[in-house]
Amino acid sequence: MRFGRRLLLYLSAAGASCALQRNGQLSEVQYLPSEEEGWESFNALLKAHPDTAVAIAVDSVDELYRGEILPRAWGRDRAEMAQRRLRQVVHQSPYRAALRQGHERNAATRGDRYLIMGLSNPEQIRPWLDIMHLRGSPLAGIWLLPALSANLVRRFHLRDPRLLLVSEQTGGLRLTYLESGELRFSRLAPVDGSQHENPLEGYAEEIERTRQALVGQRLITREEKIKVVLIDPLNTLNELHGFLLEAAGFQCISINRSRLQEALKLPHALLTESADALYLSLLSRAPASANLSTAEQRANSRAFWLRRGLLFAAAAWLTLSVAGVLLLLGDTWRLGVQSNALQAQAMADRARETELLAAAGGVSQIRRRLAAVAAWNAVRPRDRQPAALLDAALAAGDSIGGIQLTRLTWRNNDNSEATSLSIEGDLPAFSGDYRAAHARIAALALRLGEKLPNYRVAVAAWPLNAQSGEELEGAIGGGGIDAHFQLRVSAKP
Amino acid sequence: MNLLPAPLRLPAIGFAAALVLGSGVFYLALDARMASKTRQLAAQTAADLAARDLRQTPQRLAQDRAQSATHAHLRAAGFLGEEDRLDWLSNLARLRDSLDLQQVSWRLAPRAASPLSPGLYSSAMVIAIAPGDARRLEQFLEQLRVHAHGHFTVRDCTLLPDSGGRSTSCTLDWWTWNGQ
Repeated sequence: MRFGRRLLLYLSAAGASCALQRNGQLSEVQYLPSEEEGWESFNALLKAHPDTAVAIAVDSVDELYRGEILPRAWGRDRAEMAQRRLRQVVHQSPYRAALRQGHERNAATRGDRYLIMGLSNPEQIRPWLDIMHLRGSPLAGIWLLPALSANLVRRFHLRDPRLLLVSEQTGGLRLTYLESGELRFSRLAPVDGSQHENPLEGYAEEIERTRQALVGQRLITREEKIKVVLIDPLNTLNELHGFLLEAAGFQCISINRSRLQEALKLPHALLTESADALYLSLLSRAPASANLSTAEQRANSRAFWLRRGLLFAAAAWLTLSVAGVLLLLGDTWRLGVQSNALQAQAMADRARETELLAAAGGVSQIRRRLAAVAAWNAVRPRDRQPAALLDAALAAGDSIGGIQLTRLTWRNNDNSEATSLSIEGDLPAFSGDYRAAHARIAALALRLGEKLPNYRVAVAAWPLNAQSGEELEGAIGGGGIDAHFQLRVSAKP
Repeated sequence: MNLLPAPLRLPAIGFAAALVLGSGVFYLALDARMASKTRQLAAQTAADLAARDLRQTPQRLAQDRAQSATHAHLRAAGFLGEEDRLDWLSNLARLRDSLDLQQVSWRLAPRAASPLSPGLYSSAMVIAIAPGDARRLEQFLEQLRVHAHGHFTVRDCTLLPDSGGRSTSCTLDWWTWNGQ
């Protein structure tokens, strides 16, 4: 699929026009004759633009418009109801659509307003569709020409409640009635130049005839004025104003070629030869709900787009992957070059280092020597002796009468730079006088503190814990009484 | 494949193949790039180390010269290389005689790597001497340090004074450095 490309085909009984739309711009506008010659040209066009979707606008007298008010519904119910009504109204053709046109507020006829439209003679487009089928070209949609008019009205900000658009087409004079910007009725009037000396007189007659038809359909009243908008891309309808008098109920304005080109941003040469190019340009923005395609055609189109989408996604993914892979491989190569440069630099530095250290025995010898000394420095802080602390503790114990030291434990602490000492002792001649015993132990702690000024001496356990919260029990007489104690000596912080 | 209509089968297969192929090739390229990044980081680290070592070469030479005496002392003291357990234990017997000890008992644990420094090892020796007062313990440790071909530190000591004499047990750590 050529994304951003579309072939636009305008069909009428007198022939066809075709254009290529590329990124929103029309080009290659050409007239195709009717019957075989036109079909051959169309076939050649499809051959020249394979896999390009084709949108078709049909300008035919075999058309049907009918306004309907249907009960309000949503989603699938609405679609089924509209399809059912379409089958009833446009039973003779598969090309039909229900254009939803807002909500009807009248209490008596409450519901949604629809314009049911259809192409009553499908044979008109069949040869063209057959050629597309043979060429495998996807169908973007089929629209009746008047369905494109609402977009034109919006472009020119025509806000009048009743508008009659009049344009000269290949197939005749197209008269389209819109109410508040919504399509209500349209007809294609064949133009017979032989009846009038001035063909515009015939146009004026057709406009009057159309007004009568609108009155007949109760779309307007006989007295109501109607605004006639002459769509005039060829600048040939100016004199028609003279035939549409205000006294006769017409208010007439023209939109000529220059205004059309300006508003629709069309190339200058596009509208000089054919008015069909105007509607071809509007075809690119045709409302989806006015598409007359059959369900089968829509399904085929959907499958086509899905197929193309999958192929596009696959191609995009592969492209992205290849781009990513190329970027990664490029980065891999860059990193490899960097690694090689760094390795070369490291080798050069090592060689220089070896050269400088060769006289001292080489790199490894120096490393070993330095590491050995570093290890030695790590061990050296642990080089402490226990004798001084033990000696001081024993001497203090000997200096206080009635105390026997039973266990002295010296520790060379790993996690600090100091040593500690735990002293356990007993009072062998203890008679039960706890006060005197505690005084002796306190004296021992004091003496020890004097001998070891850099250490803190604390009594960890007394012979008796005299705290009021403790439960005490004992017996005096009938045996010896234990009076154990413990001191802790640790370095001052 | 009946889940998909016929016209969509080939594009769907193509899409899946593109997804797998694209992802696979991308993954391989990503893997190669990550390996290359790892190599580059390793090379960067090696280059930084080499540059740092080269920068520090004069300091290292000066430090090595300054520490040469220490290193010689370590070699002489038996700190470097393998343990000389025979010498350590032989010295225990000699000290028993020279210090007039009744008994010296010992237990030496297997050598273990120390977390203090790479290449540093220690062997724990539990030693008990009797009689073992503080002064005798000091002499014992001092003479062991002087005569033994090795370096030790004292981890802990327990002195048990009683009326019949005193006994002492200590845990020594014998240190050796055998780094490569």
